[in-house]
Amino acid sequence: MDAVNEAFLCKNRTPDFPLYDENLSYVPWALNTAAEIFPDSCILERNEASLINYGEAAERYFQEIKKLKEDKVRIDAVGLQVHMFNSDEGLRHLNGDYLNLRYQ
Amino acid sequence: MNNARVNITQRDHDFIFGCNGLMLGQLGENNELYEQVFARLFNLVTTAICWNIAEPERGKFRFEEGSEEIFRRPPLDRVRNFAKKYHLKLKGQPLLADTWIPEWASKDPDELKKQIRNYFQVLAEGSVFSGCCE
Repeated sequence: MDAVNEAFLCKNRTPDFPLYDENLSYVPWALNTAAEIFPDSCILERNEASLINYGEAAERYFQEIKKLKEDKVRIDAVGLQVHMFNSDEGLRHLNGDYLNLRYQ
Repeated sequence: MNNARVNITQRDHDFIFGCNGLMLGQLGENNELYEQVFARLFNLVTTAICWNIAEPERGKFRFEEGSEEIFRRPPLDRVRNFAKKYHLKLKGQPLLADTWIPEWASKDPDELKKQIRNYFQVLAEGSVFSGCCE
């Protein structure tokens, strides 16, 4: 199960999301809550989009996963979501510039 | 390398290989053909468990067949039953994403967390993922 999706996009996409903060503390909260509620047989995944070819975002994701594991947050799978964008569109996606995407 | 043509032939799928099932039941006379081709090629189907789609009104869940039809958001039971029929793994996505919050949800962080927790519990305790949760 994709437990938390595309949290990196939240800052630009939905800055008014009530659970948003710079540290994305809602990510471990959601994973911990899901781990508490769903059965052990349920695979809990942290998924993120538009990481490939964007080193800064990829490194940030790696560090986040590392921190989650250090903090003993249950995370069974790591998702690397890919969209069929060209590189310019990938950057727009990362920046939350949805209105100018050619492919939705 | 520019303008290269690449041909790829899938020879096996002894690994998890899936696709979203968002068009299940939404292709009219091609529904059965879609199911058969899907099940022949894939061994996993994903279903949207977006909170705003599943609980558009507080306390009124849109899980069962016969619920309001929404383009690319079939009721969860339809996808679950499809998975069971063809012995496919079922993956739900996304459980929590900033863009899939119902309009009625609280703007207060603490209250919102309670509401999200309740949605998780409904999914976990209800019939949606019982027996085929991934």
